[in-house]
Amino acid sequence: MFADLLNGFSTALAPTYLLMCVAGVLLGQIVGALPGIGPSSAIALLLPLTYGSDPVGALILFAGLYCGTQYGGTLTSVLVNVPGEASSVMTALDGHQMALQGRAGSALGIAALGSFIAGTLSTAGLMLLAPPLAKMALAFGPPEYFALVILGLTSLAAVNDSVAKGLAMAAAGLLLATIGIDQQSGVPRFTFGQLWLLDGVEFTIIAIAMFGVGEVLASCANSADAKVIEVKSVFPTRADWQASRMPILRGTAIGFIVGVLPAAGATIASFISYIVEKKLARDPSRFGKGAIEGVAGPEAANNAAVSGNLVPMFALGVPGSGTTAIMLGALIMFGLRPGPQLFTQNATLVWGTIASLYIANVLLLVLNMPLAGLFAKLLRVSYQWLYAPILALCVLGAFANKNNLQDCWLLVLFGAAGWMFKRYRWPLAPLVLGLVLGPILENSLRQSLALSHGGLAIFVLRPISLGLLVVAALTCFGPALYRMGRRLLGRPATAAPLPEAADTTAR
Amino acid sequence: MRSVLLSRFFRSGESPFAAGLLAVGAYWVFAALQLGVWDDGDPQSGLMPLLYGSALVAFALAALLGSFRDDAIAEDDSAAGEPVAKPLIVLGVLVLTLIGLRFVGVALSLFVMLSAVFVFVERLPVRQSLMVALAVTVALVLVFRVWLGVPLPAGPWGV
Repeated sequence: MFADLLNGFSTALAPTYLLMCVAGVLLGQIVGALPGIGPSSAIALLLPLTYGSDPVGALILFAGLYCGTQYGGTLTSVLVNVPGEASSVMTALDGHQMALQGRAGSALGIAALGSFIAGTLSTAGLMLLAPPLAKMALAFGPPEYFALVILGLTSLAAVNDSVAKGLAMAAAGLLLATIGIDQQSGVPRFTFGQLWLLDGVEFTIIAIAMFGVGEVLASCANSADAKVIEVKSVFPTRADWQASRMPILRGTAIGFIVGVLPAAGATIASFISYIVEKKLARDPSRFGKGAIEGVAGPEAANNAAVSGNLVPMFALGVPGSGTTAIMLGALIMFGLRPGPQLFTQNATLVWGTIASLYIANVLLLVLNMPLAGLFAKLLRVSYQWLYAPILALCVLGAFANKNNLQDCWLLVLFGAAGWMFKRYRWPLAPLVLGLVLGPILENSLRQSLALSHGGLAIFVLRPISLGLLVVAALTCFGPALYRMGRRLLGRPATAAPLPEAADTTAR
Repeated sequence: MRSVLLSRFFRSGESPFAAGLLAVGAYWVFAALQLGVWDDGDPQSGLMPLLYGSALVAFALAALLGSFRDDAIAEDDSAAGEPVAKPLIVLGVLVLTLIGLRFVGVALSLFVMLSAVFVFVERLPVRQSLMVALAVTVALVLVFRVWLGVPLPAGPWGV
């Protein structure tokens, strides 16, 4: 394996392939920063250009682009609260708040560092663990996916400040996910007779609307009075690094494992990482107000998921995400057979791609750490000049999603709703999480019920599913049971408060 | 008592939202039942909308009842003080821009939108505003239409 990796590096470091990796990373960053254009769209656009060329070079280009998009989305999330990618939505929650506090450089720097560490470790995971992890992914059937989504939703409810509001918004997101054609039966639902709603409501549009347009409408009222943000730090401090190292490691593990599961992807990985960090933090109230752990964890998770997504693609010939589905199509276009035999029949291609992932991660760090401070200085531009171009970018991003104007109207509608939700303190994250998880929840539940002919026992008879549901139940009822237990034992319901000088970073 | 409750309902931003979400949930439940929920041991198209709609009704009701608390009212009073005129104007400009996209194309619509916001909403210097609006419009059109190949709506002049 080590010899294979060395051969891979000798391939990836060839001048032509290195140049393609650099091009992929740079393109990916730009694409990632643009809302509405995702890595799958970018790869699909590049596909015709690579037809007839060397498949190794093409795959190295695509892998570099995939890595680059994850960081590109972070830039706009942190600087202007417009998530360039679905997987950057969670980064926007705390990253933008850090930017408003003059700590954009720290946020971007930690994101770059976390992305590098996560990308490197997860690439090692891809190299070492691809076949056994692929087998583990095969053990995940519909009941396991259902239990995993329930765990995600209950975790979110348990950490939200107002449980009723959070759960209501999550339910609203799940409702939005039912718009369109029912994937099981083909019946149109809640389309109100509109053809363009048959494909449902795109998550990217809602994210751009709620976080981008909503933020602009909420902030423009005081644009004339807004002070120009003073950039306090252009690099992460030692304290930032100490607060971030465990979230980065946890995010890496979460992102890689979740990325291995087909259809789970970087977005869900970043959500789960954020929830975990908020639950583990000694002072969860800091989240949403500029907690660096809220940037470090999700950023590590979404980059680690890139390598995780490649595990089923290389090991089984099954795409781990929409982007790897396009890459799989590219492999077929080049006349290759994806699957376990790819490691033996096309070792140069596989190991060259794996080596290029290492190189792409180094390039991301080298390019972005010095530039983090420069990007942060963009915030010195008065908001009066900034918000109208942000709106223009959101409109074009929404149009570019499916090349139709109806998405732009949805952008305005949900943007206005996002403004109102922000004004009256209703949380947005549960709604977008519900929208992302809704299709997986529904498909997995209905497939499970179809397998069991309507019986619910299927969820408890399978060990992985049972385990996940037990964890979900503990997440939901654990704190209440803990308090009840303490009362029965004659102790106060909550533990004594920590001394004020105590460290408020995650355990 | 009834007037106190009504007053609280309208003062609190939470209450209309919660009531609105409750209404949406109720509609979803009604529509789900029309789609069919269960048939001979197999879940039908309306099952998940029914479950989600019921959950939304329950949680929105909990939020609605919670909104009548004094501390919720106090929190919303602070939100009620935030200005709405400028955001509504910007929203109106955005709506007009989308209408313009269809008839005059993306370039002119964006240029007019940016100029209008800079000059009339923010009262920034006219010359500077027009230059910035032009630069941003050109940059965005170049990136999306020329580089990414997105077929942005073109006006009667092809731009």
